[in-house]
Amino acid sequence: MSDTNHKPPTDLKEKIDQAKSKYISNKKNETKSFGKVMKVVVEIVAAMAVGLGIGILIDNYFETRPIFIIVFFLLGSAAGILNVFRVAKSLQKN
Amino acid sequence: MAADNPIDPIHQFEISKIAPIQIGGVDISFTNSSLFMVFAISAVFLLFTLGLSKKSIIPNRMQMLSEMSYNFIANMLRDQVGDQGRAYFPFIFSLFLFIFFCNFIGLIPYTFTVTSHLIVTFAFAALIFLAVTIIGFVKNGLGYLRIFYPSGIPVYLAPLIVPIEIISYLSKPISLSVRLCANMLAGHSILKIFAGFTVMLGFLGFAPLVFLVVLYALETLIAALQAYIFTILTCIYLNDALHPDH
Repeated sequence: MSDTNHKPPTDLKEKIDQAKSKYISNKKNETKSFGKVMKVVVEIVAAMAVGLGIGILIDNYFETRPIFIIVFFLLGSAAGILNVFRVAKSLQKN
Repeated sequence: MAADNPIDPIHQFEISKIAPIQIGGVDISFTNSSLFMVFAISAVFLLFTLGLSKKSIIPNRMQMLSEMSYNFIANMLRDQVGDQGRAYFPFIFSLFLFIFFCNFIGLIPYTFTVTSHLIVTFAFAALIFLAVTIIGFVKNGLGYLRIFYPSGIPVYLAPLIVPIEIISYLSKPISLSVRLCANMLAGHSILKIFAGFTVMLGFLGFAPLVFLVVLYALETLIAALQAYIFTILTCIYLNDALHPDH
């Protein structure tokens, strides 16, 4: 009884594994690219804000008001574009 | 001012104290925000206790729902982080469920949307950011600092690239928290504004009402989507910390 019953479950298991692997590999690309697309939207603004924040902090500390704000705002903008560039690059790979 | 006008789209975001508590000069009152956090956690707790109370092979709806949400996050974590991410599953799963339920409870009229306050989402994002940074340093030692200096960059470009990379890294918690908060805030404000139009226009109010129904469907999508995005980005940051070389 147990011998005759033994074979079908293994076949079924193989089938399930096959189906699963298909499902997972399909889903993988989908979820990855989707998350990355949504990442772009706020990314530039956040990097600019961080750059500006660091600039204001340094300027307040050393009392050199406009210099570091300008420098770090530009660096922040560059960081924002870098973020977006990275997202675009990783999307292209998929 | 706001009391004069019965249609006030911002009123829904006001925090009111339910039980004022002061400990050592610090205000830790139980507010409506806290109340709806409790509701969200109770909903999660209810879903899983009811869903998993009868562990049948052919699942009923509640069991199906809880198992599906488990599989969903488990797959996501495996796709993004790999097997090393398994240790962080409880945190990621709780995070997803909490934000998901907060967003959805906020869609019910007369409720409060916890995630529409920047301080709540920023607290999450800052915690995740700190945790991910600590995990990165624990797993990779000082070698984790390499993420600020990508390989293949000439040395004379380092003074430019390193600050840019640091700013890019620091912007992560801000973009993470602002995205969730802004989506919930904007969506709920627009819903209230169009509901106000419906009331003000009287008979002609059916036009914004139709729009409102469509918008509500969109908001439902956004509520789920933003919880998903918050979680998947947490996974991506975690992956960056565990595998800084890519």
